[in-house]
Amino acid sequence: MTERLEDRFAPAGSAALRRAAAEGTVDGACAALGLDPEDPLATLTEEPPSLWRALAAAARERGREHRLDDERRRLRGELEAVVADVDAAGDASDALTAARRRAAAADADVDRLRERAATLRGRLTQAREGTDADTGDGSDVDADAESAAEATVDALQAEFAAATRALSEAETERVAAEQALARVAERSRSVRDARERRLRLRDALANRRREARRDLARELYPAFADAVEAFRPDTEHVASEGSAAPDGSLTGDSLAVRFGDGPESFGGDAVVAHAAAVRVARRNDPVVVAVDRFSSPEEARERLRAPVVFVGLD
Amino acid sequence: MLLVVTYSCGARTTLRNVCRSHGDTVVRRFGRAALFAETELGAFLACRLRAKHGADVQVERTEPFNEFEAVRPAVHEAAVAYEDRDAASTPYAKFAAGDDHPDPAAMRDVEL
Repeated sequence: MTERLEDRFAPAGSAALRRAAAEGTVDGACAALGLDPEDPLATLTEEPPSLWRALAAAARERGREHRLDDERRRLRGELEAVVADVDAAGDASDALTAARRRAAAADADVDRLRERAATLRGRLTQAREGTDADTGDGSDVDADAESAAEATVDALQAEFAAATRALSEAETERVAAEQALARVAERSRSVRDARERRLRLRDALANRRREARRDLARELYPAFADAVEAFRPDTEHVASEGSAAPDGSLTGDSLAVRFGDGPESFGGDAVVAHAAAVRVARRNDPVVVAVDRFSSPEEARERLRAPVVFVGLD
Repeated sequence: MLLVVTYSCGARTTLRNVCRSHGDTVVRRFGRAALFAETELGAFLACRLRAKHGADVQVERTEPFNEFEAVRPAVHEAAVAYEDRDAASTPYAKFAAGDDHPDPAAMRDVEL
């Protein structure tokens, strides 16, 4: 990495490039230059994008269109409308979760109170039988015991009545909770229709995008192959740069290349391929370079045919 | 069983991964939907999907359909009779009217 800021960009004298170079990182430089770091041609790093993506972007940069562009625009328009529908409907999952929780709680309450009422009924019956048996059994019954037993019956009866009331309230709540759940579920069904449509449109768009990318990349492949050749050390272009290529440079051993008929059969250094894609794009915007493959920004600028900024090469 | 339906690319990918790594709990897969075994693990996986993708995941509990129990015999018998009809082109509404089978519009409004 060169030390001076002035030696990290080309063409010399550009204030914008100088500012970007001062950032020192890929993301920082992209931000300074207003470049999208996701743009496959905006950066040159040791992790290049797929060749298809880079070549398709290069074709777009050169103004190529595709027969599916209109359809994609239409699908995007539809998608935007559906996304707006989905957003407007909001995320029903919280309401649905709350409704499910309420229904489950109401259900559990009914079960618990039903069991309690049954238990109390049992104890009440037992207590009544006890007092009946006592009174029917003879005259030597202790009056205190008898009244205590009656008090127990009374207490149990009150408890049983309260439990029955609570049970009937819980049953009412359960019905209400079930209805509320059914209502929310019904609403979320129509929201799901919109979500399903959104997914279908996204899939359709992704398919068209892939298809366009494939065609565009294929179309540009011959020009790309020539561009890769231009990085070879024996071409006049590189000869003018001098023959001493440092290790790992774009020239030299890294250029054992197999081309074949299209991007699928390309075999060679992926960074070189990416650089060649940038070159054939004929970019006006700068490229943020984070690979140690060029001897100078001027060389990179000439190879990539775009303004360049070097970052992060320590 | 637990029917899990997904409504976004992300949810669909998660479902695919879950299906790949829990083959014994996934009873059946259909594109962006799947049937999980009705076990605690099946429920756990469904809850995970729901927790991660919210409204983009729908989970329903299914049960086997017994036509001899879930619906009155006339409906089931009408279906069998219709599939056994002489003229393939006869629409059901016409078939039903001629032969005293339940009317489709009426059936639409009766819940099981």
